Amino acid sequence: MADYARVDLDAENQVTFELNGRQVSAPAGTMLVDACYAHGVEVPIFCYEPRIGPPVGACRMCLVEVEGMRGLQTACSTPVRPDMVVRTDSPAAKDGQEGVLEILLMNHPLDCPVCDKGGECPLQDRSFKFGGGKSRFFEGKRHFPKPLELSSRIALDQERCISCFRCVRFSQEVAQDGQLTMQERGVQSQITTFSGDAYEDRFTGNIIDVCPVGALTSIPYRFVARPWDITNTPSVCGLCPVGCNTELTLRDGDVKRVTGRPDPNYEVEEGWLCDVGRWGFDGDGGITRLTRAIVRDANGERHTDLTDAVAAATVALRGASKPVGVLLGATATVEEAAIALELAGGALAGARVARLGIPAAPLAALRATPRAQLDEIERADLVAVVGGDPGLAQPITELRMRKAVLRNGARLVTIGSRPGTLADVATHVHAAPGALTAAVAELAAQIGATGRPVVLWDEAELAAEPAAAEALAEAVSANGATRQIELGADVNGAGLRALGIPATGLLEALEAGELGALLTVRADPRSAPGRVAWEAALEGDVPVVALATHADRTTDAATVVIPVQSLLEQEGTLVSMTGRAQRVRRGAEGPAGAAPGWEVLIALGHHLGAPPAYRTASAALAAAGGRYAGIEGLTYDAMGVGGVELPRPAADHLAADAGPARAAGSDGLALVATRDVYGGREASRAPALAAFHAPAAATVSPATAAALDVTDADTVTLTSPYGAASLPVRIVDGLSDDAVFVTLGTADAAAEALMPPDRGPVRVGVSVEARR
Amino acid sequence: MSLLTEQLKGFGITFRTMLRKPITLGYPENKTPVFPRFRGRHRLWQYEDGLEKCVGCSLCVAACPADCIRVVAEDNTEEHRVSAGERFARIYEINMARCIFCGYCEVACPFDAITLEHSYELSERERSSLIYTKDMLLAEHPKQVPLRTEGQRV
Amino acid sequence: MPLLNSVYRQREAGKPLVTLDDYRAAGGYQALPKVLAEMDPDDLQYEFMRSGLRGRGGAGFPMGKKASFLPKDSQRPKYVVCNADESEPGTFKDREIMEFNPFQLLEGITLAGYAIGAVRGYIYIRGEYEHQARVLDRAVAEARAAGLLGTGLFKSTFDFDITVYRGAGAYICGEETALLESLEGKRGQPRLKPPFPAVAGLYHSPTLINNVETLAALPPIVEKGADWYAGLGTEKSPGTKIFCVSGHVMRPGNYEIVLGETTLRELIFVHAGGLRPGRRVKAVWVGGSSVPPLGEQHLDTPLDYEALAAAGTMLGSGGCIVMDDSGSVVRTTLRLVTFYRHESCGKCSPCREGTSWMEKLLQRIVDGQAGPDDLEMLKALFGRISGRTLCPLAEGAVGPVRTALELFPDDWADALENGVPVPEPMLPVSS
Repeated sequence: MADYARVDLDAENQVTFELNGRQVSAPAGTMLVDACYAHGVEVPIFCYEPRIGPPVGACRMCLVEVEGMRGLQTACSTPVRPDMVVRTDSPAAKDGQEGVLEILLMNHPLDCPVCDKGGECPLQDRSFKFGGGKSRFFEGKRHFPKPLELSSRIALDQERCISCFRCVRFSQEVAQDGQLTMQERGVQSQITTFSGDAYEDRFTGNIIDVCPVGALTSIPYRFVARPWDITNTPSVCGLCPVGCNTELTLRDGDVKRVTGRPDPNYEVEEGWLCDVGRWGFDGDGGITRLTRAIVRDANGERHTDLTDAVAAATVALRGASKPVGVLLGATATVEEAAIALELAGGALAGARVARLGIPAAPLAALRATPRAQLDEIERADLVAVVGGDPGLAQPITELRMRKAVLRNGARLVTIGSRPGTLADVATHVHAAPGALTAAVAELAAQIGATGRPVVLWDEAELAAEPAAAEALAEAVSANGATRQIELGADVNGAGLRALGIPATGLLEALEAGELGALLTVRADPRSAPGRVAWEAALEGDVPVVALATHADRTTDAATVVIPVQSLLEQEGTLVSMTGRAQRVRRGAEGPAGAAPGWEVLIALGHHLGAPPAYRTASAALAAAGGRYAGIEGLTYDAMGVGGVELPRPAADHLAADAGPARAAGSDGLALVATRDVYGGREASRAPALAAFHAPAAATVSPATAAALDVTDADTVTLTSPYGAASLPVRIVDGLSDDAVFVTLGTADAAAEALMPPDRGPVRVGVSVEARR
Repeated sequence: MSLLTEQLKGFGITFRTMLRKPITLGYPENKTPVFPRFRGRHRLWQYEDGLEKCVGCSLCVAACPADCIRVVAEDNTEEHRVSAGERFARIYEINMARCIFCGYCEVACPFDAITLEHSYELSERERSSLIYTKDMLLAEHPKQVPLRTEGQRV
Repeated sequence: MPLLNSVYRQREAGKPLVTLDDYRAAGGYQALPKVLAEMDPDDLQYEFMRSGLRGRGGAGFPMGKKASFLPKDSQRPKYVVCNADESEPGTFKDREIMEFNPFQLLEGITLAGYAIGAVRGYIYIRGEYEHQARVLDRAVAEARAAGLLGTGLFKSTFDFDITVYRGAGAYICGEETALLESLEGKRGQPRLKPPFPAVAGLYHSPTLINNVETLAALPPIVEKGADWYAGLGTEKSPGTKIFCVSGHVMRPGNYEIVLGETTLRELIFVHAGGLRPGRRVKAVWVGGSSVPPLGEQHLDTPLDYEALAAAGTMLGSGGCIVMDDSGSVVRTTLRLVTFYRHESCGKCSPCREGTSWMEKLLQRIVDGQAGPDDLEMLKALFGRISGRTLCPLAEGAVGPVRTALELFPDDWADALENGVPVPEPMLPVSS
């Protein structure tokens, strides 16, 4: 249970005390509630939530009897002491718990039948287990207008609130957005935002998970199902490379809700989810979802079934006189990649396999240095973020860093071209695009002077500056205590790299006319960085077989389109940016016309005359685990429910994975491709997130805007050696001058048009297209 | 001896029954009366003002041992008010082919919205027709069944 | 017994001491230079401890002992906070100090600051004391201009300044940790203790919090010596204490008496001029509304901490509310519980919900719509609230009800039977 803190009963400094007549022990400093829970004694709680912060003792639910202390004590705020005698089941303690429950239920409406929390409600459960079973309250209950919209996604029923302050504390101390507060006092206390506006930020949904009653409920999930209507499946979020562990709520063959795991993965997300991960699942449906296979040939375009499409794909791939290219997208699972590699070695012998992503060679040395999981951030005394803006690109990491600063007093330094979302708690060291090396050298000195530093580095920005990556690798390995965490750019980039799949080579081969056909797996090269080059390379009559979930630029032009299931609908393995292999599980049934990607690839193998020796995803992974050193021995059993950390790649891993030198251009502004959780295509597809979707913009600092003589909402044309894009101007303080920031992954793929295929540094010229 | 007595005993039953009035009913013109507490076809109830008693809480679903009820709830709005509270059952279906008429749904219902009535004539030509929808359950069943009083013999 | 105006120096002087000159003329600012010149902080702390001065805010905790709890080796700055959030019903003693004798308070705070090595003092004054806050602001400005606050006081190395901070109108902010939260700009709610303010108070730094009267008592202690102060009153309750007499008396007001020398009867009938003709004492809440009431039979109790505790009540803040037999104990109890329900901060459940439950029960009793079961329910509630809350507010709500039930059973029986008629004239109570 997330409600209680983990207790290490094997730790050194054990304190022995008596609990309900037993002699038990727990590490010194452990709170009594946690120690009791570790020894199988549940002390009921409501306000206590160790992930949020220190105990506040507000609900008074955890009253226990401690010998020698006057009255009943709150077990949540009483640390264990040697030889203390604790009774949680004595008549006095029971009367305390019963009394608090009776008082809490006094004003709590008895509308459990219509309450979304009913059936999975801690207040219900604890009333049942610890309550007196009967209320003596006959007066009128307190009334508030309800339900209120705290935001368009969160409903507030103030009558049900028991004032545990968990949501307020989450907002103030975990997300630190400073928005939620209590208004009025006493029995009239009400949760509201400080400004009275809607509660909107990137982590708001977590207050639904921490609410111990039905006061805060999810509007998209409102009245959708009761707990006995649903099944819950543990899975992993496939929207960013952090790999947060999630729980899918399923009803009628559909995902109805995504929540944090009740038993959090402390090494990854600690039970928190960002709002995109929580409500982005909705985007799997929608009008762009591919529900039927498409075959385009001399007779035109026809919709068809999967069998026919696989046959058509076989014809397209086999018909090629030259080798075939296989392109894996960022969300291609390890299984799919492994099967694709097997096809390339057999049925499609000679095929060239590549991934859409960042070349590995410049970062190989850095990746080989000692790595940590996210929980190490909490133990660090210095946390440094080199490049990027993790709060927007890898959101959950932000909460860990805030926790490190607020609760553990760590020092946080951000280095890069923009202060980002951590600006209020971090010391920002400005480094213009292309000038990270000097800043890293400065950081190296600081790392040397601290005891336990953790460095988070942005894959995209350091790959663009190999010298900085080298310097950082040296700095990390110089101090034996330093750990590094990659802020990855691609969801399963680490998994594809572990199989030895390069990011380069395929486009070059295609451009050289060496390939006869292209098979894409969850990849949309026509929307990827360097998309203009991809479009040009695909201009000829190279047949394309696309395995995709949604219609995109590639499927619009492909010869054969085979709908595959999304990561909410099929089995698979994703490797997070910290090298954790974790299982994605089948939740929703998905459209009838779609099949799992791995199944389609196996079927292709059968049709091509070289059937793989397995028929399931788990067998495919087991076979791959026996073949590739990067995932050696990996099986579903080995991953279990919380995943398993893969070995770090060696310093010479994928050493050849470097693109040809490409011109960055020397004129104009440096282009910084940013990521924004709300800016991506996944977010824009989800109805619950649509209102927050930020349209693409050319974001510049005020000084740059002045130099360019543009103002907010003017339209400018950006031109790079690779392409051009028209975007509205947005002016934001604190950004690097002489740089223009454009969000990746937006619907118009503007940043991608400007970038080189290897995502290397590039400069763009700016001309004003239209004044506001 | 014993064989004979056994045979006579057997015939005795035969002759005695021959003299009784037949208990066959001319169904469907005549129907077997049922006891007042007989559990037959379900009925969903409305208040006098037309609002449904059912709030779509699904407690009947939780109680049902045959898993034959399906409820999908939705928000009441001011423009479209179906029940008195915040929530109503947009879909309420009972699969009569699975129902075992245990009456647990009736017991579980916190609003007395569902009761088991006396009608037992539930045959349909198609299996799929045995899934009774909310409209069917809200309407009074056309086939009424005579009641018998406690202790009355047929 | 006569009054002894040691804290109320303005009464001794016969005029308000709102200018520095007047205060100096009345003997003020003699203690501070003496201390800065002759004593080191530890000596001063010991002097406080020897005087036996107890906190005058309500709990009566020895002031010197409290000061000694501050860690000596802390790296953080230390603060003195003066609790001027005088919100206890029936209490108005601090108001007079701040209004007519502000410099004695400033001097007292400075002395306390020197004793613990503080860098700054804060006066947290309740928002409704607008005039008093202005008087204090003027006094602070005048003291600062005269070099009595600021850097290098009296040519010593001691730097000290005082800030007047106005509350926003919450009774709970008189509770020390809630006061600190409010002073930090947060919602005024009590903190979990430990850590106590002495260790981690204002901005997580060691903090000494005392009531206005306590701090204003320091200059006379230094001037005349701890022995003089300890010699006043009883051994455990030395010194003088101001009682604010209000209610059905002819001469309501503040009376500074020597503890243990005066009985409750003397306070009411000698100092406060007695009751209206033909009336008898019905109930007295001696230490503010949060303490259990006393009845007529307790009138000869001497006014000191121990004697009042023995009588089943507390000296509290000294807000002595007197009710004669024209009042209704039941209705007054409801009014008090309404106050506590309204002022409950809402942080911990037994207080937040329990006070509301008690109020609803009492309202029905007053309305004559309750039965004996409801009285039993009320009694059962005491145990469910009392001793289970974060701060003493709920205790203050429960205690008076509990004692009122014990002392005046006939009134309650009568109320159950007939309700409590609305007295004439009675102004509507807004909450």
